[in-house]
Amino acid sequence: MAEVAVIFEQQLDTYTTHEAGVLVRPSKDQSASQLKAEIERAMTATDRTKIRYGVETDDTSHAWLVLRENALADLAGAVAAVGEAFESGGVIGRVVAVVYPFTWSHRRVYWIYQPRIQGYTPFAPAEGNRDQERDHPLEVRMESAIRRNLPTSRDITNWYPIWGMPV
Amino acid sequence: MWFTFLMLGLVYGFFVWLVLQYSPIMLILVGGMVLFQFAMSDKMVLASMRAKVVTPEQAPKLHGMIEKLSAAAGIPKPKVAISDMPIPNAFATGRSQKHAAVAVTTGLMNMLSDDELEGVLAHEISHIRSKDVVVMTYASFFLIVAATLSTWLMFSAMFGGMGRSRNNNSGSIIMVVLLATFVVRIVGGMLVAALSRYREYSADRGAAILTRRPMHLASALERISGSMTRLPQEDLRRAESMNAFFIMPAVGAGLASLFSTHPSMNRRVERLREMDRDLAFM
Repeated sequence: MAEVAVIFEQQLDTYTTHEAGVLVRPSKDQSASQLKAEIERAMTATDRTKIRYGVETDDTSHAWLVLRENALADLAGAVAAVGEAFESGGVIGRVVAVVYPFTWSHRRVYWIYQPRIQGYTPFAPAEGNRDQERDHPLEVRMESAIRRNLPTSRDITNWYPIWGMPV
Repeated sequence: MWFTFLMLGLVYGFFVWLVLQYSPIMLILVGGMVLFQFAMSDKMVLASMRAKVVTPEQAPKLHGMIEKLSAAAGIPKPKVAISDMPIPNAFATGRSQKHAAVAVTTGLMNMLSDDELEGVLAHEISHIRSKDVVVMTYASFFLIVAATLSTWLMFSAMFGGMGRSRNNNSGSIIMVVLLATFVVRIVGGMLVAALSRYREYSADRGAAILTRRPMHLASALERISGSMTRLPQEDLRRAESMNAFFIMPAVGAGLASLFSTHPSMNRRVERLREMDRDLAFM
């Protein structure tokens, strides 16, 4: 992500929202508050004082570590640091996705990194976000515009939506 | 494309020479039939697809789109027809730009969004503008002649006294012409198919230029071919918790692409994506 920041902003006219979300699945029988506490422990165990973050939970008992940095490159750096903290905290195996929101002509679109497929997939909710509809033509454009620079998944069966994100 | 044309010319030239050697009347008879078909083609095609011509009052949106697109393409506005069929399909017909019609099925109109429908209509309008119906009719002219001739010869060989012929020569002539018609049908058929693929690509390109939004046609193609149904609807969080129970979650996707019945559709979509990229930087 850090390497393609220039392409996103200068060629494609899409800009980071200065946030990134790391989505973590709960372990078996773990409540949302327990998961939140586990993530916070993992973050404080290692000295990551420089990273600005918040931990939130959603109504599917998943937790979101929300990172805030001005530049896309710094966000990507923060995600890498979180990866290390999660590695030693034992959370890394339950990371479902890393989500990078972007704005594109007054709309919000997402690049979702899925560790399971080790690739990025596009996600564009339809304009006005009506009834969980998505703008598939825009997703296709997003993928073909960046595939040379980002390890994207061309297989659309991997292009899962994530609705109601805190980022 | 010109190579295909040249090859087609060679195959047909050989065929005409051969038929003229043995039965010039046949060529004239079958040729007349094909020409009649050609003159009636728009009405015949519309009738065979059970499509009815509709007025602007009956289908204002469709008429509006076709009017806009044909004006942009610089051709007279074709007739607009709707076929009441659940199968999504669209086609253009007509022996000339003045005698042209664009027809869509109700299934297509129900399935596609307005933008996607416009992409498909632009594709059909491009077919009319580049006179594809005329080109394909000329290209397949001798193919139809050869097909009719071979059936004819088969029957005449069967009922015209096979083996009883006192003249051995006529039997061998029939065999030679029969063999030639088979060769023309196979080789000519392959060439016409190749030509028709070129026309499809060029109509896609024409549509991309007309609308300047190739992705709408690409999305329509994906939706029609059913590959759109492969786009997961379920939330990643849910899918991920399900996937945890499977050993190889990616197997399904691999099999689907192996048995995909629309490789040419994929290639068309891929080309449209390339055009989209090119247009974006123009």
